[in-house]
Amino acid sequence: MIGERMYKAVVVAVAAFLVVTMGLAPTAGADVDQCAPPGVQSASALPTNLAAAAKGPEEDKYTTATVEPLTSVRPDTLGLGTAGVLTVGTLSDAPPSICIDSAGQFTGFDNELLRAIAGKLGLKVNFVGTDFSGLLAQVASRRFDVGSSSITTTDARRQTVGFTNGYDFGYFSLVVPSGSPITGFDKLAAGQRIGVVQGTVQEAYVVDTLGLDPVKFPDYNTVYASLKTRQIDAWVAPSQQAEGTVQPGDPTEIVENTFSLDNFVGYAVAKENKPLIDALNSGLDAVIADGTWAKLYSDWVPRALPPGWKPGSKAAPLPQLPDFAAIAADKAPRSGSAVAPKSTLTQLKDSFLDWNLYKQAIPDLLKTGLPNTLILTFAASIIGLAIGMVLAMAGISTSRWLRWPARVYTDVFRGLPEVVVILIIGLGVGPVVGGLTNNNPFPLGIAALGLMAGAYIGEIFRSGIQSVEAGQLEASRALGFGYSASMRLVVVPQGIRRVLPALVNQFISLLKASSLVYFLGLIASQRELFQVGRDLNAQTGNLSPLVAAGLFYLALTIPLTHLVNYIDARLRRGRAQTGPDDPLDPASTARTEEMA
Amino acid sequence: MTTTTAFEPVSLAATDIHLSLGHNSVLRGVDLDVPAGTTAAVIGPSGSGKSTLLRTLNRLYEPERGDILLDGKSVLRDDPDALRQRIGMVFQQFNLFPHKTVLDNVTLGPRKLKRLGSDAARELGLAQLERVGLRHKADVRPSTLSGGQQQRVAIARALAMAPQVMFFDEATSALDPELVKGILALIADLGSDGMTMVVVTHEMGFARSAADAVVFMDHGKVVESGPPEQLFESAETDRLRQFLSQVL
Repeated sequence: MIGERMYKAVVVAVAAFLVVTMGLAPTAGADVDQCAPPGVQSASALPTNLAAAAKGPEEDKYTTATVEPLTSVRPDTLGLGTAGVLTVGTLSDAPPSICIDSAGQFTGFDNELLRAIAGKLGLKVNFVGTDFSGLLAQVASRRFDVGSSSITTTDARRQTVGFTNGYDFGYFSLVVPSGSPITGFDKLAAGQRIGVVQGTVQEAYVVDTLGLDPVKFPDYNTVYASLKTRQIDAWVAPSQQAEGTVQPGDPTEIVENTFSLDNFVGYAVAKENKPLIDALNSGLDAVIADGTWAKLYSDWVPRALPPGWKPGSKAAPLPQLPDFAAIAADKAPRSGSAVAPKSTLTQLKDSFLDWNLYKQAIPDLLKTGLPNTLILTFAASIIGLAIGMVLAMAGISTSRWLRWPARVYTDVFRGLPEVVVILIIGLGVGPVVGGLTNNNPFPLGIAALGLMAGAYIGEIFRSGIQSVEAGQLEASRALGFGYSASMRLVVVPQGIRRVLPALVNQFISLLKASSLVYFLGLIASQRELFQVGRDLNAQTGNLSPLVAAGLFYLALTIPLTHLVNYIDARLRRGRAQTGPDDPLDPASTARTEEMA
Repeated sequence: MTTTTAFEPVSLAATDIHLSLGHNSVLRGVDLDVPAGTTAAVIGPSGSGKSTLLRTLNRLYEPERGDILLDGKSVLRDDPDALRQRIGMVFQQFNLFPHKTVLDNVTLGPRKLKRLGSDAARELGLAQLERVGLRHKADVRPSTLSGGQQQRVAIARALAMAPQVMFFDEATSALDPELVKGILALIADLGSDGMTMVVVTHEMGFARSAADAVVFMDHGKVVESGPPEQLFESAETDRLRQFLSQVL
């Protein structure tokens, strides 16, 4: 008892400390928002360490010679999921090209440009955040009309989706820890840990062109965090991401750039949706002609264009851009001497304990993340309880035609990783019921979580029900109750009581699993705790928001854990009281069996 | 016994009852005749099929052959749940519902099966608890009671359904010795109040003094039956004599 009291006191003290320090934290301090236009002053010249492009523009067989005139675009022929609205799948973690800003809006160069193009076509834009590994599949299955994610248009990807003309281009940057012996792409060798984001052209480059085996990461943040902590030796990055992510004072540097093969960056559209590709191409040429492209480009990703490349169709006018090389040359030399590298301890403290970011994260976590996490968890729990009860009843049935399906269901859904089920339900079943759910991933996520929870809860219920001794059912039947009434009134209530702790544990794991719904693509207001933390983490390159999200999870799960302990203790105390004088108390013998 | 409601007992008869559980043939042609208002004590060694016979007579197990007659009419085509409402049963292990109070244990059947209102059910339940001397324990959980008290509650629970026949399945076997007498007295009282009863028991004293007829079973058959004094004093078969010599 004393130990528990002390433990509680410590928990309270830590919580109080966090609140107080957050309140006292200085409000000043650099507000890093990587998801804001860096402005033309951040311009960079053509990298001097640029490897030559493999092939010239004459090899480009995909860029269209001309485009249809804007006036000939008929919005009703574009095959949009929702009439008049362009539903766009995008990412939140690759500033400045694609990101979510501090107001919770999806933005970045690619998305602002797409907004301008849609404006030319008279369409509204609805951005939905998703994971890159599922983006192209979701575009191909028409879950999204357009994929906007600085997607390099490789031949392999053209097998899955179609692309618009190019609106940007990509270098690869080689990012290494400061002072690394790796000084260029030619120094990469087998045995080094080379980080890439899974499914990107950088991965293909490392595997196919360099013939090396990279370490694959789910997103740019994780790979960069791993580089900073030296868990990998190098990062092959898209140059935009490298420029946006590497901050002055970071213990890393960009040592070389190379051209992204001969491919440009375009928007992904379902292959067969030619009318939408044509319309977007028309819109793109229009925003190039009126200077919008040049303005956005200068604001967000000002870099000198590689020789021989320009955005839009071959007929599009050459954009009028400032002389980025001159601007870059004017800037003070940005070298390591300007900002002293921080110590590892400072690095860690800055990464995990930035109070300003905690304060920035908490309102979003509270207003958006917490309600969505709770909605997902509760709704999935209710589905899980219903399915679980059906499975338990079928599982203890004497009919094999009920027992077998229940067994198979349980084995399948318990045996699959949660992510796999979420992706199968979301990407496989999603398009089939798209009309029913209005392409909203929430019901699908809830269904997937509920289906999985059902398998576990079914087993919990079954074990509880089977732990009720046979005499209970017999006594109830002898009174004149039928089988189902006996189950409902006598057996199931006792069984559930015995497995309450296990049920609460299941609820806790469901609460944590609810974060996986982000795989299905969420609009900003649908993000749950983890995704809110992750987005802010992506926006700032700092891990503090994720720690803040973690604290929210703890605030939910720790009280539940104690509830379990309380229920468990009460069940035990109940038994201890009756045990000695009443060795034949049916409940006590059954509980003993259950514990064994 | 002031609150005792009059019983409306009926006769119970069984002819040529057969039952197998798995590959075991447990009952092999059992005949039984219990006139209304009388008590039959079923004795016999363990495994002779006594408890199974009770569960077959109220169709918790369906007999494979034979007939069961209540008040002279076959009940095999009736709804088994309706049949069991007419037959009260008391178990060796009491089998009270641990998640309900003593009173709720007694009133569950009348409320849910006979649609009795909660006030009427409470009144009925308290009257039945009064009969077994446990009215003051109405609101506690069964687990706080002694074994003897739990068995009294189980009897009250069975009686609350106003059964026409009562079965007792070794109702005192799980009790501490000092509690056995009280329960046997309670069962004997029910008999003298006119209930039709089948009492499976190892208490030979009870069989001898309280039963109108004694039925000796072995290997799934009735070996010998008749008035208690006849069986206990002039047993006809060697098996009964052997059994009695071991238990008396």
